[in-house]
Amino acid sequence: MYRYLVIRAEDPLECLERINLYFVAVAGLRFKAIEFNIVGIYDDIIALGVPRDLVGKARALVALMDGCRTVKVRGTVKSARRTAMSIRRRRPNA
Amino acid sequence: MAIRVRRGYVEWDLADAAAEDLLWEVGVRVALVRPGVATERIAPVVRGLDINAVEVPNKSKFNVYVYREDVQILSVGHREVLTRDQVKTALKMGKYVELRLKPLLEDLGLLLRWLDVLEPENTLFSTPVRSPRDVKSPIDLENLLVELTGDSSWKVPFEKGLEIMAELLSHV
Repeated sequence: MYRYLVIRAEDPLECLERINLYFVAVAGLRFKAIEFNIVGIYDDIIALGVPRDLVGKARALVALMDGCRTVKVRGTVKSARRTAMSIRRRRPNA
Repeated sequence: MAIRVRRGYVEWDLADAAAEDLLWEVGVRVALVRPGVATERIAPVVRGLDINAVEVPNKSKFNVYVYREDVQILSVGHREVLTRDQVKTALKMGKYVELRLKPLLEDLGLLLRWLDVLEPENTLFSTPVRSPRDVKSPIDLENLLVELTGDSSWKVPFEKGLEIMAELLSHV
C-alpha cells in the first residue's frame, strides 16, 4: 500500500536528488525491496510514492532537506496528480 | 460523520511575511512575529508586545532570566546546549524554552544533544522564517523528532502550539 507525498520545493531537482541520495535511510533494510517511486514533477511540486508504514520516516527526511516541505499526503496516484496540478506555481520565466 | 477540528500550527519566529501563503499551506494559522512584520492571513502575535519573549545571550544569563516574573519565553541560542537542571528550572517556573530548529537541521549531533536535555512540555520550536526557503512543514518536523528520539511525546510541542499560545496570551 502506497501513500503519495506532495512536496513543494524551492528547487525541485536539487530537492529530489538529495531525497534520492538519502532515501536508503527511509527504506532501512528493505532498501532492495522498495523502489524510489516518483509520480512526477510539476513545476515546483514533486509527487513521491512511499509505502504507507514509511510515511513518517519519509516526512522526517523531507524535514531535513533545505527548501522543501510536504504540503499534502494523498492515497492514490490519481489524486496526488490532481492535487499537484492544482497547487503548482508556474515559474515566471519558464 | 463527526466533525474533526483541524487546529493548525504556530510558527514561533516569523521575521518576514513574504512566506505567509506557504506557511498557511503547511497549516500555520498563528505566528509570533518580530515587531514590524505585518501578516494578512495568519494571525500575528507580536514578540515583546503581546508575549514577553527574551533572547538569552548565553547559558549563564539563562539562570537570571528564568527567575524573572515578566518573562514567558526564553529564546536560547542553538550553539550552547543547556543543562538538564536549567530546563527543569524553567519547567518549574512555568517558562517556555524556544529553540531555533533551522540551524540545527544541519547539525544533527547537536540537535540530538538538545533533545536529550529538553522537555517536550515546555519546549517551543521555531524555524525561523526569513524567506520562502525556510518554510518547513510542522508535521515533517514532528516526524523527524519522533524518528530521531523514538519518543512520540515530541509531537506535543507542535500539536499543542495553539493551546500554548492562548495560555501565554492570557497571562500578559
